[in-house]
Amino acid sequence: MVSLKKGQTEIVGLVIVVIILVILALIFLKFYITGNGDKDSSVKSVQANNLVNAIKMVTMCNQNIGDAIIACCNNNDFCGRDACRLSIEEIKKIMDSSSEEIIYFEAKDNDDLCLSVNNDCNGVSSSINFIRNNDGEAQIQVKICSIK
Amino acid sequence: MRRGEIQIYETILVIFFFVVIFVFGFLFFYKFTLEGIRSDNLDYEEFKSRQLISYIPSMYELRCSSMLAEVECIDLGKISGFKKVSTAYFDIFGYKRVIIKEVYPGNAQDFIIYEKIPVKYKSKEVIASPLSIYSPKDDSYKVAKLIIEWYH
Amino acid sequence: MNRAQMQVHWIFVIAAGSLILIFLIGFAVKYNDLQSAKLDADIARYIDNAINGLKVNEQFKIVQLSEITNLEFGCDDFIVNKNYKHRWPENIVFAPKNLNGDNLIVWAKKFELPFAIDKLIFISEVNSKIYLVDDIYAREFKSYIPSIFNNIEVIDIGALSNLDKSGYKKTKVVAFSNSYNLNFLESDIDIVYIDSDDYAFLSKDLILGKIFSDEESFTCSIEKIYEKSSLVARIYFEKSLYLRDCCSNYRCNYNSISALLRSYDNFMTNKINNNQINIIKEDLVQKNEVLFGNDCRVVF
Repeated sequence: MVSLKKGQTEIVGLVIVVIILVILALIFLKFYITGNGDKDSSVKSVQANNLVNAIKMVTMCNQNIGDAIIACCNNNDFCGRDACRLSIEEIKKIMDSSSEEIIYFEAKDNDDLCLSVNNDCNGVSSSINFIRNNDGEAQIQVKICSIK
Repeated sequence: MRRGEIQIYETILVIFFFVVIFVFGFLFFYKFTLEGIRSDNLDYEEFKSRQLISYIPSMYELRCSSMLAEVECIDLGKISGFKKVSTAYFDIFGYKRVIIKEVYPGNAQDFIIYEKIPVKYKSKEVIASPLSIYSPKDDSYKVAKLIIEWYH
Repeated sequence: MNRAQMQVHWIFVIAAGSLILIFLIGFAVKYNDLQSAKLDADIARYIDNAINGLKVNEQFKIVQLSEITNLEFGCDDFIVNKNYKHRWPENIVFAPKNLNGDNLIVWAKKFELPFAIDKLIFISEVNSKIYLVDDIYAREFKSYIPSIFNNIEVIDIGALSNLDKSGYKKTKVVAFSNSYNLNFLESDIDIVYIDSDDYAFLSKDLILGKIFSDEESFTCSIEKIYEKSSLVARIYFEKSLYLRDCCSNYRCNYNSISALLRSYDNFMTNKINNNQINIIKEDLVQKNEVLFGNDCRVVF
């Protein structure tokens, strides 16, 4: 059996104490560095879906904006005005008043873009909403833009 | 001092420091575990309050219905009734203030549909979402903001 | 060091070492308990979130847990692994008192009487078997229940004597008539009789509640339904007054429906359990339809 000198024994003891302290520090570090998951995207998804649903139902001229959007896709007038211009104006007002975020809105008729409000961006999209009436149909969607 | 006595004092000191390190270590660990549990709880409460922006529009007490068919909006005709029974919803809402604020077409009055604010609170967090509302008075659909203020 | 000193030295080492070891083992055990409690809390929250997510839209799904878990459902709460109690008084739940497994089948179903009151939560477990004694009611209910509940089966009364319980932790037999004599079944099988009178009065959803839950849990959930119905009736009553003030005319009269809603609220508040509720329910639907027919704003 190797017999250590006194000084060596004390150094071994010191090393053990240092190792214990390092392990404790690592445990502390593990608890300290906790990543924050992206809670925002799930909230934004709900907000986007609520917004697109609210937009399509808004009453206008005894009908609703959905009807105005379909009229726009068919290049018709709505409420005595150009349907597209009217829809864009009103949808912009709705989006500006209901959220501080930048939101992109688009309406398509079988992949043909009928109208859009603001510029397309990267962000959280709503699900595609289908709107239909006797004059036709369209698909609408909003996107809450990520701030970069 | 004799050599044996020095050795005993040395041993006692080493044990003392060891114990101190251990005690601090465990106190530290205990504090962190407690903080971890509190933080988990707070995260959960925060999650529940965020969930309300999808839960409230689905509540039958507020949701539009027409001939028993559901429509995705909030019925302003139900708001006064809900306010009268809102105290029964503490288990769902907790310490919060829930406001429906009409934003389009005009800025009509705000409706505070639920309110229970604690006497003391450390902070207030606000979450909002757009919402469709139906006014039976003018038979029209408008846009509102659902604002949830969480006090904790 | 002489022999005596060595002995003292070793005694000291053993004593100190044992103390430290006991302390560390005790700490490890306590830490394990704490982590176990934390895991139970996580499981409880996971179940709560999964079920509340289903409530937003009427849905059913299998909720998979990370491990086999013991769940005890009470009136306003449930206990995970006899350790962590999670309160959820806002939910109306029909579930057996004890569930042991890792795959829960959950159904959030809209309850109407006649207007939507709430979503009822039906919970079963993949390894719990429910047999419905074959008759027209059993077949009707089997077709009413989503196919995801593949642990529910219609069985001929003759086949009950050769019941195969292997592979199932719990077995329940439901008979839609008191005339079936099921006393020959083993004592560990739960038996539920649904009276034909009950069937006439209770809606299908409440009979489902009897199928899925135990007597205690069923009674508690029924109480909650009464309370919730009363709250919703009060909201509709106020709405009828609002419509009366804003929108009534010679065609649109809201007085009678308001009075009916008030009666309905009284019945629900006093938990009156008789066919009178069915009469009021039919009356409310009829009056609402009259308003719709007269192009008036409907109450519900």
